[in-house]
Formats: sequence, structure tokens, C-alpha cells
Amino acid sequence: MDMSGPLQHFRVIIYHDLHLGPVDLSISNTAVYMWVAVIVIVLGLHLMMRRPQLVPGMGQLIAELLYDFVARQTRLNIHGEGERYIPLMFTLFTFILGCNLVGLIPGAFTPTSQLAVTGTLAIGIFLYAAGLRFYRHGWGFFHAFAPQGVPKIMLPLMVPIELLSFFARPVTLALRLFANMTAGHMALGVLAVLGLAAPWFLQWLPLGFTVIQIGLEVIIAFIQAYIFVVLSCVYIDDALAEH
Amino acid sequence: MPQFDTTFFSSQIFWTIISFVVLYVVLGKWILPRIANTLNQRTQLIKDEIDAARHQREEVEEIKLDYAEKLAHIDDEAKKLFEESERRIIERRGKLMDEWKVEMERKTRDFHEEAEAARLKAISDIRAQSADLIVDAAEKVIHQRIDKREAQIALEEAIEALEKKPEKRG
Repeated sequence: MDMSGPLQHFRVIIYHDLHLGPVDLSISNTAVYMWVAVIVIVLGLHLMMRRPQLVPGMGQLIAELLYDFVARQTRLNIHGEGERYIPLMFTLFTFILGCNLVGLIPGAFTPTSQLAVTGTLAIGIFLYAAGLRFYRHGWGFFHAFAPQGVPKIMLPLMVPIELLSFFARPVTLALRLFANMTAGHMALGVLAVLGLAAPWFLQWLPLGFTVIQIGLEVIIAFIQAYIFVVLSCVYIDDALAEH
Repeated sequence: MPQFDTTFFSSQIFWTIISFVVLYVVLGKWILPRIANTLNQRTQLIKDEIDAARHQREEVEEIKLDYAEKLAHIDDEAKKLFEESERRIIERRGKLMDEWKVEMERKTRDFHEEAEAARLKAISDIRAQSADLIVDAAEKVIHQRIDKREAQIALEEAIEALEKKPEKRG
């Protein structure tokens, strides 16, 4: 591995060309590792919950803790109607977490380090929340951009700010996850390269840091999935609330 | 950075949507209901046990209150029980006395009847013996001529015999 290695890790490799007319639907490493994540999540949860019992075993306990954690965050952030969105939020959480963690396997690829992937998820949530707001409030949808109680003279300033903050949501959501995953894996790559390039008596230093960094990456993988889900809940709650 | 290369965006977007939807359907259909159901069952079980424990606690509190109340009124209760026992003893004694009186009356009546019967029998016996005596005396008067002195002796003998007769009978 040379010093350009850290960026090579994010290169998309096409395994199988697939085109639907002009649209490219090729199967790349992004798709394959997303499938790996999905299969691991489904198989893992299925095995953990194979024989559910009232007094849970270790696997069942982990699955229940994961579900309870997401369910509690959803109920907490979507006031009154959280129960309905638990399946969506649980899927979102496990999908992002799976994609984040699958990249930590040596030689594997991180789907969430791709802007197209995080952008799709972020725009999907943004469009869903916007559609929900329009469905609930009709043309009242636009009231949120002119908050009540604001003096009319301030409206020319407030409305653009509100619009900007509204449309910035998917961008920040996508960039945060993408940037965190990219930065983490880049740091890991740099440390690994440094470890290999260092004289033999100093190699323990960067390689030791790599171990710490991997532990940190696992925590970051959880935190980023959590942040994405919590913000998605906040956007949906905002869409449901009266303005 | 390779992530900004738009060449692969369409395929990445497509497979992201497909993967997410597949995961959503599979989790929503098979996995999540199982987890939610288990959690609900456990919650219900815990709730039931808490309810049962609360119910038992309430019962204990009730019994405790009842006991305290009884303890507070135990003197009255004891007095009441003592009076009740005394009343029962008096009643029993009265009943026994009545029975005894009836028995005694019956025995007295039997005794009087028996005495009367004995008296009547004695009178009857005396009459019978007097008749024998008269017959004996008459026979002696008819078969021999006796003077006054002999008659006196005969009478005395007869009376003597009469006195001896009951002894023999008895």
C-alpha cells in the first residue's frame, strides 16, 4: 500500500455491468457490501430471535436491547405518534449501523462512505417528512417558513433563513454520515500505512493506534446511526406538528 | 475523492433503495413483530405480577388494619365472651335444676304410691289374721266349756300366737 492508499479504499469497483436503457444499475462493491450488511442484519436478528423466551438468552437480549433503544428514541422524538414509525426507524438504524460496521472488516468496503448512499437515505427521509407535512397540513405546509409571532418587517429575512435551514436538512444529514465514515476510514488507512512504513522498532506505535482507532470507529458507527435516526425522528415530528 | 464521481450515482442510488426496502419489508414482516411481541408479553407478565403483588399487599394491609382494630376492642370482646359464657352456664344450671326437680317429684310420687300400697296390704293382712283368730276362738268356745280364768288364758295364748305368727311369716 502506498501513501495514496487511504483514498483507494473508497473507489467504486463494478463487479457486473447492468444497464436499464440509459440508466446504469451495475452491481458494484457498494451494492454487494450493502447486501452483506442486510444479510448479516436479517440473519443475525433471526438467529437471536429464533426461539424467543420470556427470560431471554444473550442473543435475544441484544436484539431486544437494540429494538428497545430505537423504539425509545422514536417515541421520545416523535411525540404522540412514535409507535407507528418504529419499524422505519429500526430499519434505518440497523441499515446504517450494518453499512458502517461492515467496512471495519479488513479488505471490506464501507457503503456509508459513499455520498450517493448517505444522500439517498437523507433525501428519502427529507422527502418523506415533506410529503407527510403536506399530507397533514395541506397548504399550511408553508406556514412553517413564516413562524407565528414574528414581526412582518422581519419576514423578508426570516423566510429565506427558514427555507435555507429546511433545505439544508438532507445536505447536513448526508454529509455528516459520509464525512464521519470517510474520515474514520482515512485515519485508519493513514495509521496502517504509517505503521508499515515506520522502522521496525517504531511500528508498534501507529499499529497500536490503529487498534484504538478501530475501537473508536465502532463507537462512531453507533453514534452516527443514532444521530441519523434521531434527526430523522425530529424532521418527522416537525412535519406532524402544528405550526 | 472517488465519492464525488457521479458515474456510479445511479446504480448506487438504485441499490441503496432496493436494499433498504428489502430490509424494511423483511424486518417489518418477520423480525420486528417477534421482538415486539416478546417485549409486550414480558411487559404484560411484569405488569400482572406487579398487580398481583399490589393486590396482596392491599390484602395484608386490610388484615393488619382489621387485626389492629380487633386488638383495640379486645377488652370489649373478652367481656362480651365472658358474659356470654356466664349466661350459658346459668341457663344450663337452671335447666339441670328443673330436670332434677322433675325427677325428685317423680321419685316422691313413686315413694308415696309404694307406701300407700304397703299400708293397704298391711291392713288387708291384719284383717285376714283377725278373721283366723276369731275362727280359732269360736272353735274353742264351741268344743269346750271354759271358765273365765281359762278363757282369759286362751285369749292370752291366742294373742301370744298372733304375736308369734307374723314373726314366723316374716
